[in-house]
Amino acid sequence: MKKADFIVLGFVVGLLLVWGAFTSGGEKVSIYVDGEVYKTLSLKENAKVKIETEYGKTTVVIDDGRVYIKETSCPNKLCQKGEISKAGQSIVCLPNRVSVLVEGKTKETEADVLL
Amino acid sequence: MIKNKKIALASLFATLAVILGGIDNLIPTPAPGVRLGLGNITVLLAIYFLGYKSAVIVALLKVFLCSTLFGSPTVFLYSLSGAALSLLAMLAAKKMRCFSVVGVSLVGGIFHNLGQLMCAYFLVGKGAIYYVPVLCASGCIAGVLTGIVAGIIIKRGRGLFGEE
Repeated sequence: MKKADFIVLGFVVGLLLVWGAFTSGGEKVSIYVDGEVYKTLSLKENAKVKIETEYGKTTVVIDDGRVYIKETSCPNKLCQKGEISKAGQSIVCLPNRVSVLVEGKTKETEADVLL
Repeated sequence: MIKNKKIALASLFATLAVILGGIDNLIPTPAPGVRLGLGNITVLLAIYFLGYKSAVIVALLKVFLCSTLFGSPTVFLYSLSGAALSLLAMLAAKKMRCFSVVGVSLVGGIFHNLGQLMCAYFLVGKGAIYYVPVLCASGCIAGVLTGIVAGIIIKRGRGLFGEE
């Protein structure tokens, strides 16, 4: 390996560390279907949401501050593998076009400074 | 290199890419979208041994054959956007001449996943952005691993295949 290889590797690892340092605990859970907000829920309250679209059926469960996909009609069931709880984490079910996103306190669209 | 030999090697690499893609599908991964990308080895070989034109053909064949054999139309879109961006990045990285095979493969791995994310952004929306760190990290690791393998083959295969 050459020097430039390590520079790129170091740069990417550094970026990832910075990204990791800025993610905080989650507050809200947003469920998107086909890129649009389907439902927004609190991470603190347990809930079970069934989503039925033309692409398939998906069941999202919020339990004890963690979010996971309970059931899905998609063939490979990749989205059932994990659970999320921190801001910025997401579960994406591509075949059903459903994505579940944990959001933090502040919204991205908020301005830092108002002039 | 003689034209016939080039065509034969390009089709050999494309065939290998399909086999490796099939094996790749069988290897379990910790998160969706995370793949080892063994097929990338053959694209790297094509870049180093056959030049950029053949590399484009090998990459396109790999995407087309792999997604028709093992995937779905959605998979095709993802692979295509990933492979296109990855190939462009790898060719640019190789042109810069300051990277070794591992570096070129690393850049390719990261850009492959970024390309897939761009596609995901259009299909599933904003949620995809939060997946960037996971895919960047996995692209990094997979890129280095496939780069090491490709590096060994390129070093040993120089006598067999000749350089572009």
